[in-house]
Amino acid sequence: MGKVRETLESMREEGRKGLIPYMVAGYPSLQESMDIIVTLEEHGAAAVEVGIPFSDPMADGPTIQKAHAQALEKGATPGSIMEALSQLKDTVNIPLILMTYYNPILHMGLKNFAQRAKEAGIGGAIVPDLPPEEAKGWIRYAREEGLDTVFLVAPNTSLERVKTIARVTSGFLYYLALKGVTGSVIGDIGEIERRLSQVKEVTSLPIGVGFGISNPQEATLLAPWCDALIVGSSLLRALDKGGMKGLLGLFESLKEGLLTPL
Amino acid sequence: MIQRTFGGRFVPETLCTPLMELEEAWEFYRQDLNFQRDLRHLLTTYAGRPTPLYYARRLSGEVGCRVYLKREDLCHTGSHKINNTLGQCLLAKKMGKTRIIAETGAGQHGVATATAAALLGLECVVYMGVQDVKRQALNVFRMELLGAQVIPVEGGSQTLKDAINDALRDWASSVDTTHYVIGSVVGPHPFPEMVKDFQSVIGKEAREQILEVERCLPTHCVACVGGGSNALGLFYPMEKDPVKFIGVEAAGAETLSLRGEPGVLHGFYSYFIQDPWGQILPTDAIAAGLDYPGVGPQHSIYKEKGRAKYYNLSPGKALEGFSVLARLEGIIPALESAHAIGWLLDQRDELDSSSLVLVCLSGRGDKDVQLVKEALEAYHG
Repeated sequence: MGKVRETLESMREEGRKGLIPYMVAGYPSLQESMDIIVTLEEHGAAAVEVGIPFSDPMADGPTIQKAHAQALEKGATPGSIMEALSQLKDTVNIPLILMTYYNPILHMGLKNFAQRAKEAGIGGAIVPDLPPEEAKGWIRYAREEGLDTVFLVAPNTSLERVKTIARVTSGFLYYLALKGVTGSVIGDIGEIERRLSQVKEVTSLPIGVGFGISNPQEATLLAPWCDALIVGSSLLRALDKGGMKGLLGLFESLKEGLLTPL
Repeated sequence: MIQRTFGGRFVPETLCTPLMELEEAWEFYRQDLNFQRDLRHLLTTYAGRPTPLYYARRLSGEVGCRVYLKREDLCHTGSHKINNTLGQCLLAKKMGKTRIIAETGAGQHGVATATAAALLGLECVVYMGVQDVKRQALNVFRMELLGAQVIPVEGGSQTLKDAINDALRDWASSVDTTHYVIGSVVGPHPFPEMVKDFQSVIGKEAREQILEVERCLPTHCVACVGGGSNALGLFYPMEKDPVKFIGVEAAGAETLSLRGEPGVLHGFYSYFIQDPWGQILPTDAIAAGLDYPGVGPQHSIYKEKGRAKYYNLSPGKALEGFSVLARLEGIIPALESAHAIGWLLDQRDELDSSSLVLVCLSGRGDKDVQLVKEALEAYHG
């Protein structure tokens, strides 16, 4: 069992909801991004989603695009990021989940990438531009190294397809709160709840909900329907605006929102 | 490396279902007689097909063999792009979509999309890199005249690649109402196949036309390659014939001829220009329509099978092609198409008097005259 799955499942048994922050490795700098991971663990993150910057992040909105571009300008590479992450191996206990586009994996070689991720202490990976149909090779090598493979389900994914996706997913099923890119505004929460209740009927996997979540009210409303919430763009915006203090301020309020009963 | 088949569908989950629906619709309509009749009617009465096959007598004299030009520059809107946009907009309409989005580099595809959208009464939004908005200002105005909204793309290298990123991002949030008219034989399946089908009209016509006048097939087919839609449109219908295929890339974007390696971008697996970590690198082609760091998957297959050969041409030689065609034939070609002409002039030693060359003149050059004027002045000091 991968580390992501282990964590999410034990949380579920204990009836806890988790907050999974997303940050971009190499942003604002490689060292600062590693410090952010450590701090987020101290503040109770259930896991951290670590974005590997890519030149063409097509699933991401402007905030994350900008962070990717800046991290690349400063010279962050998948190699330097894995190296930096492996330094955290003994300090950080929560699972780290890589969020990377497919080309950096492909270019490093699927097997090599999976091995290096494992050596760096990574628990699993989310590859937003790799649907299950194209993922056979990646799943094989990831499994060999004990990495969880997190796949995404969108609001327009049919329930039949959810089943197919669930079969290759380990760790948690990543439910997209909106159709579109990261950091957009989520629409009708009632509609998300309705879809999530359907998804839960066809899979027993833990469910993480992400894309567009930006305030504690949304966290409160979504908490009953998921095991974890994933928040990225709004945290990055808080970091840009108010530094570490700003980021932690929003993180704490989201956590509180998540724990507030409806 | 486990990935072996070029093409595929490497997209966020939100786009998977719409792409399956599109594939299904396309499988139906490509065989639907009514659809084909409607499209043929538009191509004939509106776009000006069939386009002439022109024997370029003076150019032939210059290069020492017979050269024919497939005159896609005479299509409505001035390039082959209209073949595809009419097809896709008609399909979008059949699918009940009310809004069209597109990316554009040189502006040719944007203009052709805006035109087809206007004709069919569809709302149209075109994404265009800020750099391209600057170098193709007239085409921006043209699109606006046609009722389209042009959105300048600030991200990345601010060219065609980034315009595609933003079009895909738009599409992920608007799929219910919107069809993405991709402009080349690129993108996730079924786009490369579908665009190839729509552009194959070039090669089908040209094959018949040359057989009629020359009583034989050409020895060479030559076309410029950015994403590769005019080239594939010309090549594909002659794929099984004993004809040499030559694809001409621009220096600065020499994906197949020099710098590219297999990778995944914009939803498909093909050759891309990238760094050792798989980051896509910016390109620097003189012609905006060739300024793309990748190439359609079918061209990668042709390259690996040795079915086609790919060359790249310096800006100077492309400008020579541009000027020579204007002076010898009275045709001002698009700077993109000028690469195919430039290759002929550059490689004339490799052709002999028995060669029969068919060149796709993919577009006309009105949009480029300002840029060419500046470039020639810079060149000749």
